[in-house]
Amino acid sequence: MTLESGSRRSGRHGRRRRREGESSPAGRGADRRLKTGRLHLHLLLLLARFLHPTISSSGVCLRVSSNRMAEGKSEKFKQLNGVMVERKRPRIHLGDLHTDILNRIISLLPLKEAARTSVLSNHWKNIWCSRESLVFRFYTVLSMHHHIKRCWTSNGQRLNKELFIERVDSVLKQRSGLGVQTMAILYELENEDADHIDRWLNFVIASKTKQLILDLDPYYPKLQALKLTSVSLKLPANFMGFRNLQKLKLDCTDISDDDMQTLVSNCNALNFLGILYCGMLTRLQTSQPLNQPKHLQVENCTMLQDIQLNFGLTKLEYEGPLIPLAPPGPLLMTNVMMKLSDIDSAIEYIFTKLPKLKRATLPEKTVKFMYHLRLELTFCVQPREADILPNHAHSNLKFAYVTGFYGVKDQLELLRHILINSVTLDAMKIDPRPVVAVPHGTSCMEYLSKSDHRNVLDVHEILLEDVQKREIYAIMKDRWVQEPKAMVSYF
Amino acid sequence: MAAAAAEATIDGGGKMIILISADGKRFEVTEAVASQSQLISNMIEDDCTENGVRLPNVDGDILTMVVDYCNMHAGDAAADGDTTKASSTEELKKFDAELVQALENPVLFKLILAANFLNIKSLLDMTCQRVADMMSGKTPEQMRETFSIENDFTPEEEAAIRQENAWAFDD
Repeated sequence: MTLESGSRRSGRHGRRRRREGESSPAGRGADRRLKTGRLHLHLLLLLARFLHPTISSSGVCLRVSSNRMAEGKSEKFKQLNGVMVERKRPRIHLGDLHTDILNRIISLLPLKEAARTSVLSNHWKNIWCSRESLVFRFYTVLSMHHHIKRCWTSNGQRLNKELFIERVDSVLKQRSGLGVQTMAILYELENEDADHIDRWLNFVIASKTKQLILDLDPYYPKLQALKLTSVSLKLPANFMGFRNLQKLKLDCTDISDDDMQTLVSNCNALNFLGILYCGMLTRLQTSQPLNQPKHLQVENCTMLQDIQLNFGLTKLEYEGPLIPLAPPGPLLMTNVMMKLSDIDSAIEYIFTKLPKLKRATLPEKTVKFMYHLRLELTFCVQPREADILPNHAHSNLKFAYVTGFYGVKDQLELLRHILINSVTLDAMKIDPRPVVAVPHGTSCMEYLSKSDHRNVLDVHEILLEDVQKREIYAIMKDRWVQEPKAMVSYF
Repeated sequence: MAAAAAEATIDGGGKMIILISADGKRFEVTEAVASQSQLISNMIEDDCTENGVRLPNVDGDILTMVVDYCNMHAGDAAADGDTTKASSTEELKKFDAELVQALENPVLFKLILAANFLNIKSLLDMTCQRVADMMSGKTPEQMRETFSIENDFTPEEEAAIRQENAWAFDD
C-alpha cells in the first residue's frame, strides 16, 4: 500500500475547524480523509496482508471479516451460565452483569468517560481496558478546557501533540488482548511522528483490530494521491470528496458502483484513476462532466460491463474482457492500451471498435486519434487458416509495438495488415518478449519485410537473459538466443 | 395442549409458538415475532419449539416487555426498506424510548440479561445504550451512587489508579 500526500498546509488560521463532536468511529465522512506524512510502507503492506481483505475507506479503514457464527455460539453458553448465577441473587446490580455486557456498555461511552470507570471498584478497574472501540482525537484524549487554548501557538500545538501521543500510548499499554473493533487516530500528525504511527500500527496488527481509521489531517483535506489495496471501501453518507486528490488507484478493493461514481464525481482534481481487480464493479461512470481524469487504467475487473467515459481521456489502459466503451464527450485519446483476454476479441476490437469510436463520436472533425499501438500477443492459439482481414486504413497510426511475437500465421497476417494499411506509420517494433513459444524461423520476417514498403520494421533480438530462466530455453535453438549486449529499451 | 397451541396458526400466516417464562406465564407469538431472538430462531430451525419454549432465565414481567418489544418490531427485519413501514419508524422510536426510560435499574438490568440470553441484538443495543447514557457525564462518585457500586479500593489504591489514568480526569 502506498500512501502519498501533498505538502503540509502552511497556515491554519482562518480555516474553520471541523466540529470535534461529530462522527462515529466507524467513520463519518470527514474522518475518512487521510493525510499522512510518510507512513512506513512496509508496515502498511504487512498490515494489509495480516488483516486479510477488506480495509475500508479513504481514511484507511481496515475491516476484517470475522466468524460471527462461532463467536455467537460460544457467547451463548457463557451467557447461559451467567444468567443462571444471576437468578440466585435477590437484587441485581450493574456490576452483576456479565463482563461481556459491561464491555458493550463501556464501549458506548467516549474513551475518557470509559477510562474514569477504572476508579469505581476493583471489579471495574480493568473492564474499560477491553473496550471494542478506541477513538483517539482531540476531545476524547485532551481537555477542552486546558488544552484547546494552546492550539493558537505553535509551541502549544507541539505540547498538545506530545501529550496526545503520550496518552494514546498510555491507553494502548493498558488495552489488553484482542477484540478491538475500531481503532481510530484523528489528529494532525506529521512526518516526524511516523515512528509513533508505526508503533500504533503494530498494536493494530497485534490486537487483530478489525477497523482502522487514520485521519492525520482532520481539519482540511490535502490528500493528493491515494492508493488502496485489499480493502473494502464504503463511502460515508456525507462524503464530500477530496478536493486535492489527483491520483487514485484502487487495487483489489471492494467498492460498489454507486460509491465508485460518488468518489469519482466528488474528486474534482482527479487526473489519474486506476482500478485493478475490483471484483464488485459492474459499471464505471461519473455524474460530473467537470471531472476530467486524463488517464484511466482498468485491469481485470471481471464484473465490469460498461465504462462511461464522460471525461476527456488522453490515455486509456484497459485489460480484461472486451466491453463497450461509450464515450459521450470528445475523446482525445492519443495513447490507448488494450489488453483483451482473448485474441478474437482483441483483433475484433482493433479492426472494428477503435475506428467506430472515432467515427461515432466525432463524425465531423478530423481527429488525431491513435498514434501508438502496442500489441501484446501473448495468446497461445492453435495455428489455423488466417481470415482475410478487411482493408482498413489506419490513417493516424505512427508507432506500433508488438510483444509476445513468435510468428504464427495469425500474428503475421495481423502485422502485415497493419503494415499495409497504416499510411503514416513511422515504426513497427516487434519484440518476441515475453517468450511464450519457440519463434518461427527467419522466413516469417522475410514474409513481413515484403509488406514493409515504408521500411519501418524493427525486430528485437532475444537475449540470453530473456529466456534463460524459462523452460523454453531448453528447446530454443541457439541461433535465436543472443549473448548479452547493450539493452535496447522501448517505452 | 401446548403442542396443539404451538401448531396453531393465525391469519396472515406464521406458525404460532409458545414462550414460557420462569414463573410459568405463557406467551403465544408468531414465529416471525419470536425469530427476532436469535436463540429462538435457531430453535425453530432445529424444530424444537413444538412443546413451547421454556425460558427458565426470564421472569414473566420481563418476558412481557420482551414480547411487546418483539411485537412492535416484527416486520422490521422482513420489511426492511419497505416504504409502508416508514411512517411507523417514528412510532417505534417513541415506543423504544418510553420502554427503557421508565425502567427502574434492576428491571433494566434484567431486561439486558433477557435480551442477551435470547440474543435480540437490537434490544440489547438499546438497553445497553440506556445504561451508557446514564453513566455519561457522571463523576465516579455519582456513578457509584447511581449504580450502587461499592468502592473497595484503599485510598492509596484509588490514588494510584487515578494517577495512572490522570488524563481521563483533566476536564
